[in-house]
Amino acid sequence: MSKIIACYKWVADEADIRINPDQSVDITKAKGKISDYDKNAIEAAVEAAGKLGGQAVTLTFGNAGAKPSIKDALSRGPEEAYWVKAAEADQADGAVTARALAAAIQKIGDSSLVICAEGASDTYARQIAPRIGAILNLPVISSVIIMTFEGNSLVATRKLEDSLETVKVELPAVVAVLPEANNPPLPGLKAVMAAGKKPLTEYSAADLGIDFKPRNQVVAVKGYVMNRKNIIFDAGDSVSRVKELAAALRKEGVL
Amino acid sequence: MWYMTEERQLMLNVARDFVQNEVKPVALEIDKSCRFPLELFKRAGELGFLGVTISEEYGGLGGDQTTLALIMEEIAKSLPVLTVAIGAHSLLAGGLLEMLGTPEQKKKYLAPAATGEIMLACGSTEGAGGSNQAEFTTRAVLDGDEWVLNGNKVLISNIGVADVYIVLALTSDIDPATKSGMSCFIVEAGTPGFVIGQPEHKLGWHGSNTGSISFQNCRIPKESLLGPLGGCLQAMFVSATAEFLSCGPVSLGMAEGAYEMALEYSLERMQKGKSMFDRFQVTRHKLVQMWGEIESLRALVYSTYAMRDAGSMELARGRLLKCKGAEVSEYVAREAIQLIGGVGTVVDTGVERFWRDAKVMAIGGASVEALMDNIAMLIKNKTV
Repeated sequence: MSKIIACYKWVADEADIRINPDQSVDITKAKGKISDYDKNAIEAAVEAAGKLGGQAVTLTFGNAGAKPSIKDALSRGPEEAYWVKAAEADQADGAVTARALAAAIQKIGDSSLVICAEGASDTYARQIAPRIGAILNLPVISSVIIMTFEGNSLVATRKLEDSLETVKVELPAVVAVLPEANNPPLPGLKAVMAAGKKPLTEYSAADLGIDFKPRNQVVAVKGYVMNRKNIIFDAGDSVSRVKELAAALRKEGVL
Repeated sequence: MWYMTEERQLMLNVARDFVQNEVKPVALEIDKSCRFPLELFKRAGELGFLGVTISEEYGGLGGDQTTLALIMEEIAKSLPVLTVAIGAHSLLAGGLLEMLGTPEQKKKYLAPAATGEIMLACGSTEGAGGSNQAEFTTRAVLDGDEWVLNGNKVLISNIGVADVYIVLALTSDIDPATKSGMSCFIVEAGTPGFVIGQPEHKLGWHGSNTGSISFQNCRIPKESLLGPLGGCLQAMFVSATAEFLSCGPVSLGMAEGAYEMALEYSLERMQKGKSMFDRFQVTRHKLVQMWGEIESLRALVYSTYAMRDAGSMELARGRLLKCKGAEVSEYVAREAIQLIGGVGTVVDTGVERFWRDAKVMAIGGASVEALMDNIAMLIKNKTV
């Protein structure tokens, strides 16, 4: 049965990330979670499988710490999970991640659609879908908010800066969805229990015949300080102060 | 935590998401308006919280008590009263149906209860005897193919919103030797002669529909008898024990809810350029004492639940959990109000309701004093 593959990333929960006074970023107390945007990708795969036929499955590239994500992802509806398990995943850049995922997609075999989120909630680099498409020589549709199917074609609505674009593509294809694509439901406890019984396939670098050596090296991650101008309009009556405020906002390009 | 497994953690995550996004935004409004949170109860059913301990055969998860405890603790951090409704539904009434029901009764009532399709209530407490079943006056008499019920019950949870009531009534005087005489009946809302009162306005547990029900020549089919004639007292003790146990995690959640508010306030409220936390040693010490009580209760709750799941828990420990839980939650909530000060007494701040709910916890279902007497007898008889 043809597979609809939802790719997701296990990220540090931003609610637990602390910026130290020296602007260094402390993620030591951060719990892991499936990137919020990737929950949209998983839900999109489940919905697509319902409309298109086939089997929704999940795919992630992560180290041993990503293990809790497997059941979590499966509890959201997909029937099977694939995990490219590698310690190097922590240091992987977009190129390595896409290579790993693309190799796994090839290994999985018959797939009609690969769905990613537009970006992950940690780096939001927006590289994975286009890179997978390039490696596998598949068409890529990004910024998707609506997907419908006509036979073996996908008709997708893309949300652009100031317009909606509708595109049609023959499957297989790679899609990147925006959060507006759906509203992922909270899985019930029965789905959580059932997730433990669904199959999981693990791949190593050797299984996929690739290495995970990144070309980019992250040398520092620092928090940034947002400097406020602290301008107070306190002279004159309220009408003139509002006019002054509006003029200042226009000058800054806000209005 | 030692009691956490991957599966329990995932289930807890579901509960956290539910509480954060659906319960917390309406918790204060429910307390202020005293309305029953029906939409949250139904949602709890959809998510599987109502059927955690109900067997898989009847639509539940067939899960353990510890999993239910984790969920109850999480909900109680924001809206303790929702756990009261769940406890009455799943543990008291649901527990009796699971233990005593025929396959047909379970299929008809337990399966839809597991998913929240119908709501259950348990009619036990009476005005004269309180929770002491030996002094009950509600009676059921068989007349042809029907049972005829007469009597009154007080302080019953889920009244008016429940679809089905599991009612305790005497079918003969209690035999002191065999303890027989008490029977259970299934009574559907809307049955002629079954009168449901108005919810009482209480100190705490606002939003729990607690009130009186009465039976005035209420005729129900012969098949409405749940379990053996005159032999349901032991089952009632078992389901009541499950409810006493649940007071542990619920109290823990209430204490944590109040403590977190006090800690946040102490860290953020500035006086003379310093937070209350940094400025006053008494603030720091109070918070440490509160945290210590919470952690002691957590250890007691989950070790007791581990014994319960292993089938090795003595009866006294279930009762102890309710006593200790009520004490700790009342203490922590009281101290949280004290730390927050005048603002803490304002209803809209949302901390004083934990104290009101904790106070009711010391009484509702069975008073701490009654349970301590129970425990004392068990200690005397060396069954602890």
